[in-house]
Amino acid sequence: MMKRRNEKKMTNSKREILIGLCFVLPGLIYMLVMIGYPIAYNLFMSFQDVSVFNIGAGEEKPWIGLENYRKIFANETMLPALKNTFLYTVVCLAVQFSVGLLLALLFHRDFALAKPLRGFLVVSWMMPVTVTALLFKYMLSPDVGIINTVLVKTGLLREPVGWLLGEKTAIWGPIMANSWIGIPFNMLLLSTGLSGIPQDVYESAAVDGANAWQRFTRITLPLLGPAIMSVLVLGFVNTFKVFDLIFVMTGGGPVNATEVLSTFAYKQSFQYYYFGQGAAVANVLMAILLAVALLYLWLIRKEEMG
Amino acid sequence: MGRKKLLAMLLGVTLAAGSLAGCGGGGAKDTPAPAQETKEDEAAVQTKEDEPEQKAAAEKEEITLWHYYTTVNGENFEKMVEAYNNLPEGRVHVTVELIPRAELLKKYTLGIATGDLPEIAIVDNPDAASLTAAGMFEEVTELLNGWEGNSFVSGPLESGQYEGKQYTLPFRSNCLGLFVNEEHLEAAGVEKVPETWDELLSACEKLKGMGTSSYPFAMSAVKSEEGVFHFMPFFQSTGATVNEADSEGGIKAFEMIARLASEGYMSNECINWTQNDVEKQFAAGNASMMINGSWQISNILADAPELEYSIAYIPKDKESVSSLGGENIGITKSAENVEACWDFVSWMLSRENNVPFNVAGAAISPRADVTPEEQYPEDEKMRVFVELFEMAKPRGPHPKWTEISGAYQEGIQAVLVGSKTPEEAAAAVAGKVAEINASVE
Repeated sequence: MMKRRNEKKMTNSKREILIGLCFVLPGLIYMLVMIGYPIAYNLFMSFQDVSVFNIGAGEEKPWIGLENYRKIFANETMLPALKNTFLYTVVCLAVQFSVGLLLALLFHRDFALAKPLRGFLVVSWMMPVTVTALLFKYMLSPDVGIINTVLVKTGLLREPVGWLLGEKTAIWGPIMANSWIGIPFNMLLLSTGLSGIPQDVYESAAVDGANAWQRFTRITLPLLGPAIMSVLVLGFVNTFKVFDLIFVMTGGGPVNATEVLSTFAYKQSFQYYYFGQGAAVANVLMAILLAVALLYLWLIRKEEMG
Repeated sequence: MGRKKLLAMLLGVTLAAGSLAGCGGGGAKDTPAPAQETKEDEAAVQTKEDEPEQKAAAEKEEITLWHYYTTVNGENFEKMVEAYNNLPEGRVHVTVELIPRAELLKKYTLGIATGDLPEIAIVDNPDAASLTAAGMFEEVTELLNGWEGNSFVSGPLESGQYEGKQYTLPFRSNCLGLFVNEEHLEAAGVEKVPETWDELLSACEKLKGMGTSSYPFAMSAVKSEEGVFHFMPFFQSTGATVNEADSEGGIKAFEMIARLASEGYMSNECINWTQNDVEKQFAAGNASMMINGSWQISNILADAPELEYSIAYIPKDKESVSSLGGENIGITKSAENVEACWDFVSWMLSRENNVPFNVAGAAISPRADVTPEEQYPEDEKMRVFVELFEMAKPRGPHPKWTEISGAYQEGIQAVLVGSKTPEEAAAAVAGKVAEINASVE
């Protein structure tokens, strides 16, 4: 008897696995073919010498081990690109997140026009990036740009700054543009997080005599934790792989001042035809994102267990 | 618990990877893209075939052509191909596909890697050598020599050569000249259009002295091929060649553009201006002189129909030169019947077809058997361009031209923003070019 019952249980779970597979497999196969294959191919290519002379379909592509990685790190554009990518990502994230959080808190209070205003703010998120890039390019112009005009008229600047024209200032142009783009995204996700915090927690805290600051640091922030985490990770991934904004605003210039990993990879592959090296840069980019994703998973797991 | 963890992990990893794969910034990650694009292209082709179609097409060999011509040129180009398709004696039936300029080179490159190429390709002429080196084109030396219409200006013809053999042929040409707002010059007391660098500098000084908001001079120095295109007339006027950026002449050219910027003769913003941005500045009266190409004449006409201006030679150091632009046409390795394709190509290049197409788009036919007067009997401006065309030098041809161009782009920008002296910039460019040349061996 015992044995038969066991057997039945087994078949049940087998069927469950089968059904589960039916749900998972289509997505998994799609991912393997559409995402897994290109990544594997890219990894493979980063160990090959592929240049203008042998990109043709049937031509031999010699295996050169880590040579492409050595070459890209020896390239004088690589370090500025890495530095710029991190600077860009960190500053954008800091601005987007802090302003986004402030706006989310503001719109969480129910005042007249809160909803339409919040909707209005999302426009910058929905605008095509190339349009935003062109707009900012003109707005940052020292001769006719509105940003310089405002800064000079209000006395914040003595004379107009050629933001995109100097090697030291150029990266701040795309940073400004992207911060503006990203604020509503952060605000929306954080708003959703805020509305998930039950109101009675605040009420009982108020009864216990907690002031606004205490309520914010002791209740809002901890309970918003998971939302903050996903905003930051998604924001990091989104920001780190910036391409179009930079490409349209500066093309990586002046000199190499706004070159980032993705534009560097693109140029190596499609401008200079060093496909192996382009693949290597793309892999470095991916490795960094992967590390961030793994960190995120680890933090989530710690939280679940904790 | 363990399996769940694993699943969550896998999902997280693929999610991160997936969002990355979407960025299009990497190398081979883009490989699945062409398949989708081809589908769209097929759809476009379908609608095209709904148009009145000739019966003979069925017996002819079907071939495809990629190009990036839009607006006036695009219409004329498609009309021209249609005229060929309607010829009873034509040996092939050509389907034209328009691909945005920024995409075209990428598509060719991917096409070489995957074997998915059109039979006939239009390419920007500085790219011809590298695509040829990559094995994209069939050699046409013998077909060209055996053709009675073989008569081309040498500069454009050379842009289609690689290792002494002919692969692509010049189809449409243009070159750079100096656009001059005569009203501004007159107002500033500049008596004659500057012909030398010294005259250019003193004219700029006078124009600047006017105290208006406009800049005396404008050119493109953007970090792309366009910036190099505009710099080359200065550079090559000194007698320097691309392989010797640090020669006396090379340094002098870098000094010249650095001076134009530092003296305030041209806006610092030129490092972000494409050729079309420069045209807009000139058309708006924000620049009194500009370097630009013949095709801008039609743009100025649209932007500022009232503007009075003339075309002049680009101010020279030693010799008057211009920079050659335009496209080449070639038969790719995808062609099954090269001779049948040549029938089409030679028809497109023949005098009676090629000249009208070029003239209609304010370009210059690369054919040597047609004089400036024949091409532009009444257009003063275009006639100057035809003269300039004869002194136009090609960029390259070099299989790694894009890389050489990249080195120059950085050099140009470095002297304009002042991060390198002309000597330092020239030395850095020369070093990189030497390395690139060494890698070609």
